[in-house]
Amino acid sequence: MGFLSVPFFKNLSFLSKPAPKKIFLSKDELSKIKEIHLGEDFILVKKGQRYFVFSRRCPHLGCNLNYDPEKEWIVCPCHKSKFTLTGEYIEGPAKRDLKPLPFELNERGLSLEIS
Amino acid sequence: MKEGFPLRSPEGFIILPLAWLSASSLVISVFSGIFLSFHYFYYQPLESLLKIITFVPSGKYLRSLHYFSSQVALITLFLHLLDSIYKKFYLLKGKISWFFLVFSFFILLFITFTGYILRADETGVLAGNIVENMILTLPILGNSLNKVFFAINEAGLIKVYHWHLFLSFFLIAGIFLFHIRIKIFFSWNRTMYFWTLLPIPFFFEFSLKPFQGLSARGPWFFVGAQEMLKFFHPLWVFLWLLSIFVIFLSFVFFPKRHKVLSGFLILYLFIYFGFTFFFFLF
Ligand code: FES
Repeated sequence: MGFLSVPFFKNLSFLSKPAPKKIFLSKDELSKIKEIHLGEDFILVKKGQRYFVFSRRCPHLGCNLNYDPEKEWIVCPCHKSKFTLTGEYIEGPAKRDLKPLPFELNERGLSLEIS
Repeated sequence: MKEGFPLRSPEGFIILPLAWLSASSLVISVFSGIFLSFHYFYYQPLESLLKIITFVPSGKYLRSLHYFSSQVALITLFLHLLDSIYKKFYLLKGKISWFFLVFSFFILLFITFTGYILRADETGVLAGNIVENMILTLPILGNSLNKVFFAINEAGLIKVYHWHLFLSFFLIAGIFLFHIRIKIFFSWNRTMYFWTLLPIPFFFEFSLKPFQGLSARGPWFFVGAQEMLKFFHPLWVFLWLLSIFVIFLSFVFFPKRHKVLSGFLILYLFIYFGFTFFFFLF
């Protein structure tokens, strides 16, 4: 009988999982972004008419990424991994590109969901 | 003076002030922590902390005292452990009691580290993310261990906070039940350790680091590991950090290998401090 409680306990932490975050940036807000916008959990890059949205978590060990305006790189402050503005890996221990986030762009603005 | 424990091994006397300083700072840390916990809410960590240092009466002092005394406790306990190894005190102890002594150092390290995470400034958030992802690289056990001790991404700081509180009381109870005689510790001539520690936070500021920009530094005692992570797989770094525990324990299991084990320990510390040094250099 005790075994029956295993899946219950396994899923306990699932119950405390926070709901996915929904983020919306209006057309107005988007027009103010010059090239890059660092949100709390995401990075939005504007290249001409194209948008790229990435998770702000470094693919190495999850530190919050920052932007180096001098070199125009996205940099991880923890172990110095570097990425281009389109999310490609340049150097450092991460060894992977940034994780792209699915988003939807329409005439009202841009919406994305972070789970 | 009769302390109730053997204070002299064939190699010499234990450095008692180190032990008293460690215990006193631990007591101060736990008591200041109790008062801080009345104002700290794990679901609003940084806000609570900012409120503590700005609005709570003596809050800034309490926080600095808590921070400072924990650091002193950690450093002096480590030195106390090294002193006990150097003077072969483990020979006077059973395997189990030596295990608990070594274990108490790791518990204190864990408590201090979770204290950093609970600050929830940039150092805290980064430290939390790194430890969680590092544990997840452990095969088989990684996921469960993370769920029990951290799970910050899923559940916020609730687990970290409760482990921080629970282990502090566990540690202090263990130390006073099995290692230090309360009557001797709280005697008048030992109060000077308290009087020395209490005013220090008035003269130093232990500020938060809300934003570290392009280069962030974790807790000072894990800076070596932070540097190692630039070069090695997180799993190896994690095992490396645990290996000092094995070295400390081996002294009591292989007493005849004292010299070899001491060599390992020195090499370990040399490498670790080397990486720490490199971090600040580049
Ligand atoms: S967490 Fe970003 S490089 Fe390690």
